[in-house]
Amino acid sequence: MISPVLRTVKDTGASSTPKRLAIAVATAAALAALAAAALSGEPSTALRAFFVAPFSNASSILNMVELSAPLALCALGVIVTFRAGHYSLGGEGQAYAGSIAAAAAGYYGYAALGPGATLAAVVAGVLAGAAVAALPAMGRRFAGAEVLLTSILVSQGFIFVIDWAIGGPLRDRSGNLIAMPALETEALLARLEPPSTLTVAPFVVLILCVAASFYFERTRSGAAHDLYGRNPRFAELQGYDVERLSWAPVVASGMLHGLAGALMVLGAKGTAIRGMSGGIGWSAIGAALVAGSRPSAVPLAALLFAWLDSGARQAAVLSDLPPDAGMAIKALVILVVSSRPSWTAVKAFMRRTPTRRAK
Amino acid sequence: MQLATLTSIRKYYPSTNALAVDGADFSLERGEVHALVGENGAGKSTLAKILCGFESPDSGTVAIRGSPVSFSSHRDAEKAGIGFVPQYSMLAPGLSAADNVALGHEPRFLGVFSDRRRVAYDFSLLADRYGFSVNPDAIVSTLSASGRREVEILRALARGGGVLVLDEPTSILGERETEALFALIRRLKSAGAGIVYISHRAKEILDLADRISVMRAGRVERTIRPDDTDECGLADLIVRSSSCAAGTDSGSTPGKPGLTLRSVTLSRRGSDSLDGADLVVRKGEVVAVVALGGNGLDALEDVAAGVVGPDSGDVLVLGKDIHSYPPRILRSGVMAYIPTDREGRGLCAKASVALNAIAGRLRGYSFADFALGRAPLADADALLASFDVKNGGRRRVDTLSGGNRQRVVAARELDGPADVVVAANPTQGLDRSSRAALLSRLAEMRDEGSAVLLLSSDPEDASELADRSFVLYRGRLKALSGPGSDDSAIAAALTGVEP
Amino acid sequence: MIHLSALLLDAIAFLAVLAPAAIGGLATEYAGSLNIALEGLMLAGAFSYMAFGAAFGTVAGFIAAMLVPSAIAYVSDLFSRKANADSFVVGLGVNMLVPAAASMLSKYVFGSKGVAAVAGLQSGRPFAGAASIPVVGALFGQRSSDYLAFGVAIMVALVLARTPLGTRAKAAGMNRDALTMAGIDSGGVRGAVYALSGLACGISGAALASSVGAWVPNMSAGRGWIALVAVYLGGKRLGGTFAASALFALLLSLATRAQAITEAPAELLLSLPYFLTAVVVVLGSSRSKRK
Repeated sequence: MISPVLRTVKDTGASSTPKRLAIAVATAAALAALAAAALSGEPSTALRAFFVAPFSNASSILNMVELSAPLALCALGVIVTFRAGHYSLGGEGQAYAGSIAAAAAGYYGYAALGPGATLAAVVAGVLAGAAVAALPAMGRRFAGAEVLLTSILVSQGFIFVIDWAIGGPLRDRSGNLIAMPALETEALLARLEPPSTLTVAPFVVLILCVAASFYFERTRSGAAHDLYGRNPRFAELQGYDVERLSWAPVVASGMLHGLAGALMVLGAKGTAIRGMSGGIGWSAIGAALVAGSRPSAVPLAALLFAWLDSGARQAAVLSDLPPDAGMAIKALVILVVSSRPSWTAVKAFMRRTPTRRAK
Repeated sequence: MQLATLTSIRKYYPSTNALAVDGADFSLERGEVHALVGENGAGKSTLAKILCGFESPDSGTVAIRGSPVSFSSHRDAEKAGIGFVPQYSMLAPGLSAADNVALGHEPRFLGVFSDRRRVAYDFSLLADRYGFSVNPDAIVSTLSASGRREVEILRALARGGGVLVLDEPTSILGERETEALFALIRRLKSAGAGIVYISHRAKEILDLADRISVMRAGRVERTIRPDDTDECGLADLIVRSSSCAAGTDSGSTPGKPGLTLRSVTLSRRGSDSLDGADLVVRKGEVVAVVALGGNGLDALEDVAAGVVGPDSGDVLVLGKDIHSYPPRILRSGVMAYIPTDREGRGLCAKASVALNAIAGRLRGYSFADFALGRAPLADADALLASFDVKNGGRRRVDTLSGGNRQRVVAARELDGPADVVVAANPTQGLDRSSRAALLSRLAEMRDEGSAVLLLSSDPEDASELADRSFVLYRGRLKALSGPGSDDSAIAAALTGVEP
Repeated sequence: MIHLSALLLDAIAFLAVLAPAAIGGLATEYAGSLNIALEGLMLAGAFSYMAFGAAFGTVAGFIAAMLVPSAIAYVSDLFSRKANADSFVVGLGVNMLVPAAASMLSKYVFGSKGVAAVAGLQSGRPFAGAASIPVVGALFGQRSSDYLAFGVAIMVALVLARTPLGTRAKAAGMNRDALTMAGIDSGGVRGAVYALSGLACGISGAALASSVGAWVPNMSAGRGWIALVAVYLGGKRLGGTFAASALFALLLSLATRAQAITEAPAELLLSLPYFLTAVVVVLGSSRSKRK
């Protein structure tokens, strides 16, 4: 889909995407094996949880694909903002807001809309994500406030509010779980391959990734978006619409995160559960990084993280691997992928000749 | 005895894949000024950096006073008495003048804390000794360009002074400051110091140098005495092709006003302010405004290009307020703009050269053309070829040298017809031949009917190209009589001398 | 009715947590590098205090709370410099790694994955006797850990404002070439300010942990981010950063105190400081934009 012709026009200067993905997969596998062997009381069970169980049958694989879908959407959102030079860290709250809005629309809208409530839930999720992103976006547009600072603050604030809403007025008191009432099955996305949890979500992700890739690599707006992200002053002087670029990517990212939150509710979870976003905003930044900020690589990067998540969860249940091992491995994968040791530097270090910065 | 000897120096930069110095030999005697000349990229600066310990050579030897040395940082070179005055500012702009000079050698009290009084006192002593009058507590960013240069020189002299290396020291200095600098150099010389003087300015070199080494393609091609040549002869040595017969004449007569400034005032920017500037640039003429740093040239650039609105007064493009143009319209065919701040405004350094080249005409492509066609790349190649940027398209801009970056900006901005051209220091970083190419392209655009405003801190640009010239001094514009005012008149006006 | 002295007492306690971390953030900001990992480093400080405190006593706890985050910050910066990794991304990695690692270690150290209270690790209030003096009493009623945190914050501020390292860090942030000219390795300067930053964040985490005497997962709850905001809102200057921290400390204490007197749910009140801070950032930016 991406011809080399345009690559030459739009070079990011980073190491190639396949190489990054390969490094990430190798690191993740090595760390998972290490964690299973070193931290679990039953290493063989833990190893099996990581390396055998997720691939043992079609339904486990499809579950993993389904699990990767919301993460991929969030990562796509991260890419949209980061490539505009806005370092939005508010993904967590945006996704969480998408979840509660979708659950509310799906639950309360079912009476009026029937199965149409699914669509209402998706729309509500997208809008809620955009709403959480609105203050950072507008602050940037009208006051020039750093999205990095405002997004995390607003997101943190909304997390408190949503925690309260799910645990308070919207809570389903009949269960032990702090969660909203479960949605009707008809309001959820249809399962395509029972018993797996696969829904239409991964296909939506694929379409969006292809579209985003086309946007960045092949359209004039995408090129302007990239140039703005790397040098806003330059983009302004070239006459691009920098006012729109100062806020629209932030809102678009909020919508993608909101959609991700909605799909979590309408897919495997079935309702909004307290704390359900579970660090997805941070994982998404990692996945975006593993994908080298290229939308075309997002599905694979998300799948890698989904595998780590499900493997770690299985291992925690079956053996006594600490459940946070998955998050720790993800963090280490991010660190490894972010490094770009240059060979000249390595060679110079081996020879111990001092190197200095060339002007 | 020879103060410094560099023998068969080689230096290769893997990041830009360039052999910057390729077996150069160079020597410096006590009490001499040894000028180092050559085109951009000939290796002058790299050779100087090796002598000053910023770079270590891949092969070859550096000897100071006869004994071989291996510097691992500029600190080592300083210990050997070598001071360096860089071409571009290497000062911390937010620190005081005294702090900048003391950096890395701070006097302390109680062993831990900076001794600020001592820092300021040492600085005053040093400044007095060399006859400078910089306030030690002045924050560097508030100093004028020449004030900053003085701080750089003081830093170079603070430790040592046996060898002084100056990289294009006069590029931002006015006549008077240049004279003062030359007097200082002569004084140091008679005290036995050796001075390496890198410059493009043939006249200065002939004035000052005892020996002249010409570098080309990483080698010192020959070393001559100033008596062996004259200004034109030296210029020909620097550039292979003759460039001494420059100067273009306007073939057209000025038409309607392209760019008009009516009593434009911009204040609250310190020394960089405008005070009631009136200026009309008509289509088919080049108007040059010359100023030394800190006299309002940046302010004039900002208002003329529409980056900043004036406090009062009007800026009109083709008779309409510049801010009434939507940015997209202004920048496609109405106004071409070559900014002084090349990296900040003129380029997106982290994108490819090709994308930078076509950035101004993105909207000119249809959706399908840009998505699927070959036009964008072909256009980029053609544009870059027009300014002789070789094998550039695929590389990122930040891997290019300064001169090549300037050519990318010029290629993009000076490509199509434009009603108004605002060119601010357009020749910065260019060697003689590309400078000539750029000036002739500006002349061509004038002949095609563009109104060209040339803002420059180099009077030579103005005298070569301008139909009318102005000087900007302390925010006020002053017209110079007729084209081709002689150099001394410009110099007098630039430095505020009343005729 | 909220008691003014009680409010001040709380505000100063919050400030003891925010100020060191904010000044730590300022340290790397001086050198031109955004330390996004304040939150993670605070958490590392809190955990180290509890873990080492439980094993070897409070003093060891405080020392570890400064050294461990300092080492983490130094190593992460070393990694980003030597491996050519983006410091922003490395900081995010640290923010993800620390809570995960702490929760894994917590199982071995405290034998529980959740909240772990350790007797004797809650700091006392040494001058509580003087706390009844109206208004200024709030200055005396603090825990000893809070005084320690202020002491460390002042020490770090002194290093930044009055030592060659501080000047060099500023020079590194303004124009790295200035250091090259002085023959100083700018990487070394950056490493030093990162270590300093980690140390300051560590003591702020320790102050947090010793105020409750327990390890609570994710106990920093976004305060590292507020500290980072204080650096920006304070114009990247010492005085401004401290003033901004004081403002946020007051907001946090208002939210906490309000729980006692209103029917409003605690979570809603706790969300308010974050929203207000965001609004303050927007207003502050619009002012500096107009300037």
